[in-house]
Amino acid sequence: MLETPPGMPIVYVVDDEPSVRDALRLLFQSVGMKVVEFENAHAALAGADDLESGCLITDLRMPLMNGIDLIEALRKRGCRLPVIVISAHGDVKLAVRALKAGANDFVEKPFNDQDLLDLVNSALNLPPGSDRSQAVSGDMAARVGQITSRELVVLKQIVAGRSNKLIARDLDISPRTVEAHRARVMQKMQASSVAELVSLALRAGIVLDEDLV
Amino acid sequence: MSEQPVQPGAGYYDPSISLTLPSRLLVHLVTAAAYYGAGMLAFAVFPIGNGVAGIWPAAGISVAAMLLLGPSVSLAIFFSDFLVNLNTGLPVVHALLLAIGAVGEALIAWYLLTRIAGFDPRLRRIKDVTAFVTAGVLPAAMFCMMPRLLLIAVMGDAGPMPVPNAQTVFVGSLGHGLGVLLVAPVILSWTAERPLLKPSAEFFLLLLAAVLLNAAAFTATPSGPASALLYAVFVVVLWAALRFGPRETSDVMLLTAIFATWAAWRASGPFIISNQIEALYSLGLFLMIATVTALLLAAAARERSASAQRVEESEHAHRMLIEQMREGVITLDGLRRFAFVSDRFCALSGWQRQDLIGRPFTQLVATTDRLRLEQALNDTEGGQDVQIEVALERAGEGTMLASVAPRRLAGSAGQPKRIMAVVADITESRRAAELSRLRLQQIAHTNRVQSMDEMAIAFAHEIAQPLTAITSYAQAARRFLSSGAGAIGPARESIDGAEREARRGSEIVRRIRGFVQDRKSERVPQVADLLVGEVARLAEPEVRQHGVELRTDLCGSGCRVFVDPVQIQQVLLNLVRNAAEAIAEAGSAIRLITLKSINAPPDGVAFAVIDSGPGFAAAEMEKIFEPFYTSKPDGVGIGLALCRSIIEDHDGQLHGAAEPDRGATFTFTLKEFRDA
Repeated sequence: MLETPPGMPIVYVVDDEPSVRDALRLLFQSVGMKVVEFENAHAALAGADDLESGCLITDLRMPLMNGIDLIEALRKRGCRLPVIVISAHGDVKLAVRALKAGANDFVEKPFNDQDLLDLVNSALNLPPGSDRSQAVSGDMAARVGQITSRELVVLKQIVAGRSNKLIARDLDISPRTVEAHRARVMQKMQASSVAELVSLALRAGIVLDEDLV
Repeated sequence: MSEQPVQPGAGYYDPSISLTLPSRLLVHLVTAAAYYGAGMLAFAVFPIGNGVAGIWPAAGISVAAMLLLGPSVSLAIFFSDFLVNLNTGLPVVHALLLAIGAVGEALIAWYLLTRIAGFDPRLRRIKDVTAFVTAGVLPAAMFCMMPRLLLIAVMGDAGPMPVPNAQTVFVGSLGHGLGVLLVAPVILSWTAERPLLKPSAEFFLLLLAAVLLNAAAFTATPSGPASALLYAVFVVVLWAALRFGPRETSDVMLLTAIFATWAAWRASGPFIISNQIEALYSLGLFLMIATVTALLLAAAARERSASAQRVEESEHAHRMLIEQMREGVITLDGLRRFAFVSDRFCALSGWQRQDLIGRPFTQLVATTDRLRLEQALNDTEGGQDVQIEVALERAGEGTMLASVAPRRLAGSAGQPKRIMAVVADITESRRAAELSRLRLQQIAHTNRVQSMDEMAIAFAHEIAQPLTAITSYAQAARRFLSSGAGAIGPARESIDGAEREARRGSEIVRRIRGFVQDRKSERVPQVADLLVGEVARLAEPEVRQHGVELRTDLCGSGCRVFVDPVQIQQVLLNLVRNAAEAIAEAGSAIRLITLKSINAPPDGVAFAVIDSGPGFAAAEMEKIFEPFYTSKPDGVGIGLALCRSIIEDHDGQLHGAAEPDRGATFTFTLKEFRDA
């Protein structure tokens, strides 16, 4: 099915939205990467045995079979391909579920091209079979270093999917203060969404899988 | 004497009086005495000989008594007559036979008159007078002599009395007939009607005139000029008939008869010609003709005044009815000018009656409506039922919206056609309808905003797709462009893609804005298939989220409906979303919704939403349309009730049909719009 020279990294795109697939194809083409498109999870699974080295980008919400089920099915079949989830639903719970299912990263639609390319690149550079707990880069260390202990408590609560109100009650502070903490955490971690924050926090090792709901 | 109540409607008056036994005996005795007195008087005044008197008022007493007291009075009559006959020197057999004849004639008259349906012995109608004459007077006259004539026919000339000749028989019959005709009406009318407690001066004047004129007429010498005074009696009769009634008329006639008889007895007056028999002939005939004429005249006059009174009463009732109506009533003459306006119409329009009468109706109507009103008024000529709505100018200022229902008034041929119209002020009800439509609009809008709220995530997802694509296309284009001349082709491709997606995004935004905008409800011709297509696009993101497939099945005929497009889309969207949620909730294996437009001959377009969901039980069918009924855990339950209201506002009916586990179908049909 796939007629590509061996060793050449391929980006597999699974999205029911043709325009998104097309745009991603052109984006990766512009940096000299080859793209293979699947219009749904079933098609991707059907071709799973032929998937070579590369990276898989999948949408979360798709008819018949969603992205999380796809990841689980792939992992069950022993496919260790790095997976980046893209979704228009910036929902913490969904992000967490995807990451727990074995996704390497979670990116909210619409995304910054450079971020996505960086993620794909770093995923491709991973030794095959390794999970997402890659070495914390110097940049990441710098980000985490700025977080105060109080902010860290709040961050852990946020990635656990708790609302501002619940956090405020738990820590016995006002929701307004929680909001301020949250804004600073997002800023310091350079996360554009909570989903991304979860992804970053996991990668930085601030939180562990067990912390997630 | 008590007045018997008149039976309502039947027009039958029962003259019989009910009495206790002692008073009944007394009345019978009085009757017997009166009969005896009248009989003796007749023989004293007019003895023809041979047991026959020239005039027999006792017959009137017996007939009247029979009608008032019933056949039981026969005994009293029999003995009185027998005694009178004996007193006149008749042999016992003849006296007996004459008495049988006297009772017989009264019985026959009573029998016949009580068999005539609706006979009223007060003689207030012409038909009562003719019935009285033919079934009361004539049989009595014909029967009175029968038993005696029969005896003579059987026994021959055996009795001590000479055989009465034909003339005697005729005079006797005439005398009996006259007696009934003159006396019975007086007795019957005086017992039937309440006696005059306060007789008017005019009544006494009438009696005085009758006495004086009769005295003058009947004391004159037969050949003298004063004998013409006899005709003056008719003036008094006319007076009594027209100003009073049958009772006073019969009084006057009885008075006249008394004078005439008295004059004949004294051998004076106009009827004394040569001998007594001839005098009786002419006197009897005169009284017979005059009395029948007088009674007929009185009945006619009474009937006429009664009918005039009925007309007046019915007119009064109609007028009352018209003024009780909430609507105004007007009649227009042949030139469509106001001929009558009810008070209510004046109140509604604010005009005074004198400002309206004689004015053309169309002048009151807004110029734009005049032609239509003329047309409607013309249409009434064919007897059509017409109703139109026009703006009616009110007195002072302002107009009212009036519903006018004109009808042609029945009139004789050749006469100009008059029109009656019922005019109702529908300004308020129209305003109320407007208000309820406005309320529906507001609820509908709230519902749309709420649906949008619920669909926001789906729409955010929907809009995120083109935005994602645009971002990626743009970034790809930039990279291609900076990588050198060879990449122009892919760069253009990327830019084209970005443009296409930007259009798609703005299309989604337009659709949402159009749907959720609070705007005035407006009916426009709309192609049914376009409506369905638009709804499919609106509903698709959310339906897809539920993992349900949405198909459309269009009629393809391009037929149009005249609707508020947003409201109809809203109904279809509600139905589709309900279906999708039901399928998702039930976790149905087949997950399909079909949105259809169907040609519905002869002049309709049907819309249907068919789902493969769990359906619902027939018992729930009516309940699901009730406001605040919901099967959804977080539903408000306004959706279907609102859908039904919207469809009804579009003159359609929303129907649901379902089988448990086989899915549900919701359908409504709208009238097809065609260019006039």
